[in-house]
Amino acid sequence: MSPENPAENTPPRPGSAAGNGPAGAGRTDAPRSAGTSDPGPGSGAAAKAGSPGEAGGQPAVRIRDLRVAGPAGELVHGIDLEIAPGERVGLIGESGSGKSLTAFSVLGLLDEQLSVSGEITIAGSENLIGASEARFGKLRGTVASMVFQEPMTALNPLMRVGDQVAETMLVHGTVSGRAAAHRKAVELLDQVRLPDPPRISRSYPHQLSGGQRQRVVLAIALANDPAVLIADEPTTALDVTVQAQVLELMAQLVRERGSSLLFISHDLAVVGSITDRVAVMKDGEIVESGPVREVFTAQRHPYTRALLEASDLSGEVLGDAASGARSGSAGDTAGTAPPVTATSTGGAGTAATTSGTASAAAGRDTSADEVHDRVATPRQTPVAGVRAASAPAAAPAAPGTGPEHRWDGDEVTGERIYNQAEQPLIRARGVSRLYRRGVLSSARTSREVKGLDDVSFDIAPGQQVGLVGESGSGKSTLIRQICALDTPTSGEIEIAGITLRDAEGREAGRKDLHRIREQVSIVFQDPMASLDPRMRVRQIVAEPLIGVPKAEAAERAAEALSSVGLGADALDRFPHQFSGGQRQRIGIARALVTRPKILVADEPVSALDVSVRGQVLDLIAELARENNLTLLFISHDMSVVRHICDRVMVMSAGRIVEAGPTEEVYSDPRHEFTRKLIDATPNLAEVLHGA
Amino acid sequence: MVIRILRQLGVFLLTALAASVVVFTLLSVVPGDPAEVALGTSATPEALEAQREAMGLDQPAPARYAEWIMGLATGDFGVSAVTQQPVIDELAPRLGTTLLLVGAGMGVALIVAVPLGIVAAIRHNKPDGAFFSGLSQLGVAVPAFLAGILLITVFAVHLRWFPSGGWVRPGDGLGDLLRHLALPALSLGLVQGAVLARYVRSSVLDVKREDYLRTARAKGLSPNRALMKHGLRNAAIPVLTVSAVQLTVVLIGAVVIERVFVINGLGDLLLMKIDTRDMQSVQAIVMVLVLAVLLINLIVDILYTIIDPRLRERA
Repeated sequence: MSPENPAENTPPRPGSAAGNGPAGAGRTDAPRSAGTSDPGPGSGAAAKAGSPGEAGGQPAVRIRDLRVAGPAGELVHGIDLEIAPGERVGLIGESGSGKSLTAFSVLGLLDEQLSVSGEITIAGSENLIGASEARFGKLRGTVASMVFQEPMTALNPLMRVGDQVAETMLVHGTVSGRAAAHRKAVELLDQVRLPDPPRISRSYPHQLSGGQRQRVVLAIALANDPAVLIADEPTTALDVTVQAQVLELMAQLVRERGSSLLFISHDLAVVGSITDRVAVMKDGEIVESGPVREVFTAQRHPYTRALLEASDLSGEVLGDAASGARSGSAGDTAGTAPPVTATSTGGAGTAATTSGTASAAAGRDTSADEVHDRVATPRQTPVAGVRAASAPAAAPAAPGTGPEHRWDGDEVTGERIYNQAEQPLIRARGVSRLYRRGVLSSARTSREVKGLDDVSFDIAPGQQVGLVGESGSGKSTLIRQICALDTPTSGEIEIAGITLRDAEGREAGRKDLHRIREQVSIVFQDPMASLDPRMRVRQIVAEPLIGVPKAEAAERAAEALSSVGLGADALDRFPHQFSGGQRQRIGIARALVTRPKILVADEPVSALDVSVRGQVLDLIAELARENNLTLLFISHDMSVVRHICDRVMVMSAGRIVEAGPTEEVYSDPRHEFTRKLIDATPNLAEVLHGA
Repeated sequence: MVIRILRQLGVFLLTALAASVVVFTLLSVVPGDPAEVALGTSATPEALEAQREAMGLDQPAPARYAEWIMGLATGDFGVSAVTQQPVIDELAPRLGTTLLLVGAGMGVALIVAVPLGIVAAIRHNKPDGAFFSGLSQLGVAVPAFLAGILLITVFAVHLRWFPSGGWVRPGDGLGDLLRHLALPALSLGLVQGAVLARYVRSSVLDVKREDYLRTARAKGLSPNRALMKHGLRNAAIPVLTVSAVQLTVVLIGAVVIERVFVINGLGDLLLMKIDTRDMQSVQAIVMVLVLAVLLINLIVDILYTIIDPRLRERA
């Protein structure tokens, strides 16, 4: 489509070969593996483009002075980045920092309206900036491939999964014949540890879970053993436990193939757990880069420090990181053994890949050592932080010694009442919510789905209770009951003294429902979607005030807005004029305007950037304290709950499995699922100490 | 999947039944006495009474409905009060003509819309893409009968390539039939094609933004190949919905176009029967049109199930 790039044969600019980029934007950490001779594919082209400073092996990816400009101006301002063969590099930054643009430029997948300049080479190729679509087509899926953020939409919904994996090989002719491609596809599905690969290969994407779909995307990306894998926030949309598994898997597979990894994420703990080296991006520039531990412990740039502070809710890292980083890595020198996950299938296959891993890693670790001479020990476990977390968690009390479940209070009629209180504000006994499929439903599974399964708990006035669990565990169903948006199919539930459903099955009338909804307010997860784009902030915030005179409603709206830190000038603006964090503040103001007793916050910060996350959390905590609110805080992130809640309830499969004071549950989880959840939560401190 | 199709079949039958009640009721309350129509205004009251009895008009409405619907189910549409002929004998050949016309019109629409829409979407930010887009915009603004008159003026009157109207039976030579079919099918199809092209364009533009298309490109497929292989089938789903609505519009449009081109089709018959107050026939024709529309929707629903695996197992 585009003409041949005139700049293709331009020699590299001498100034950018190594060291500082223009404007002193970042240190490039060019690998100096001088002695090794690694011809690699396309060495002819590389010789042409090679610079005197980089004799020998070519970097897997080399980016020089990359600039991306859109219609509204430049978005990426000349960044330099280099990834050595087999090296895993993280690219950290908030939304809008240009990290995804950088990733997409490498594969030439940027939107047509954006223009790129600079130099990009992959595995010794010529400069790919402005290369033709056909040229990129030959590289994509073979030399470099990509895993995307959203597994739910990354696969063609109308095509069988096996066909989609096989296509990658058929397009490039790396496997001859359809039958062979399909056989290889099933093998790949097995390698990404999907259960029953032959069956999965015949499935359609909608029949798989998000984690399974991401494994399929990974299989597609790795089908042709690429030199470089680019992963753009690959686990952001996944549950923590699934995230941990996918990270481990990705690290292992990349290592087996000796592929380089460019891992993009806003989550420092995740990046730290899987990469050797990180680059921090802000406003289209790399502000800092270097080995993970060095960047995370001795940040030179204030932005890196701010990011770290925002991510480190527990304050563990910044407090003792410097000394902690030096403390040994004994915890995980168990080393290269394949990570054990719940889904690992076929012992033989895994064992076979282990030896491959070891040998592949051996050759690579030496060069990695040279590159990162400041790292004491080469990283040996793919995701040390995630796995190492299990050790300290289990330390205080050996699991199994205490009661299997923790709950406060008596066993009344054999049922467990979690978090029992004298005079609860929310009182639930044996609450179940069954969903029935239609009579004519052709679904082969059970006719009934248990959204909530016999749940009993209390929440006392003024408590700040965290509700954690994976997607599908019943958190949302439970808060739908508490917000009186739904009624249980059995059990009794009382909210702020008003009965939603009693033991005899009598349900609240319209008036009572309205009274409950006045007492319970909710802050939603997505501040972009939960505010009507055509309403002014004034109307949005005042909308819950039904039956309140106009003048008073306006006054209260302004009051609520100022309590969340927004000025009166915000009143007449529209939601799109605010940032994500500000929008969430508007959402909080709307929740508080009715002066509720109970505030339900449904993952209120998961859609926000790390740096504003802390502020919004603190705001919610402060407002809850000031207004004597009872807070029910839903999250999949244990560390967020730990930061804001004094109590926690853990849900799994429609049931509460453990409840208690947050610190106690966190340091001494009794239920297996709680342990799994805590272990899987990426933790900065663990990343650094384990590294 | 089978259950889903059976359920759709059930919905079709129920809707058809409900529609028949509406058709029957509407045409019953229309003023005009079929017995009077049959005998003329000079008939004596006694003769009228006897005629009513013979036609079953003395029966209460539910009984008349029951008789009508039972007849309908067995293909018996009753006897025309005006011509004294079974309605089905007049209706059947004309139904064939109209179906041919509608089919050809829709065929033209699809042949125009699908390539035009795809090209307009692929080249949406280029001048020619905008041109195709504008072309379809223009088409949207032209009603079918006007297009018909324009086509007659140009191709029949001035160029004399095609006849300006009339019809031949399929048995009387295919070439002649096609010559007679060309202009009415074009006037029906071009306009609908222009409308449909806009939907094809926006649907293709939507799938172009889908993540799975990006995944396909990341595999090494070229943008156009990715679109052909992964995009079009996905884009077809919303286009199918619109096509069903359009097919209905074409069916109704055929009624007018048959007048413009002097074709003895169902629409022509309908207008004629309304003129002669032959309510028995009007009722039958309207019911046939309603059934055709419902059938179109049933077929589209089944096509959804075939295209989209997600619908095969969901309730």
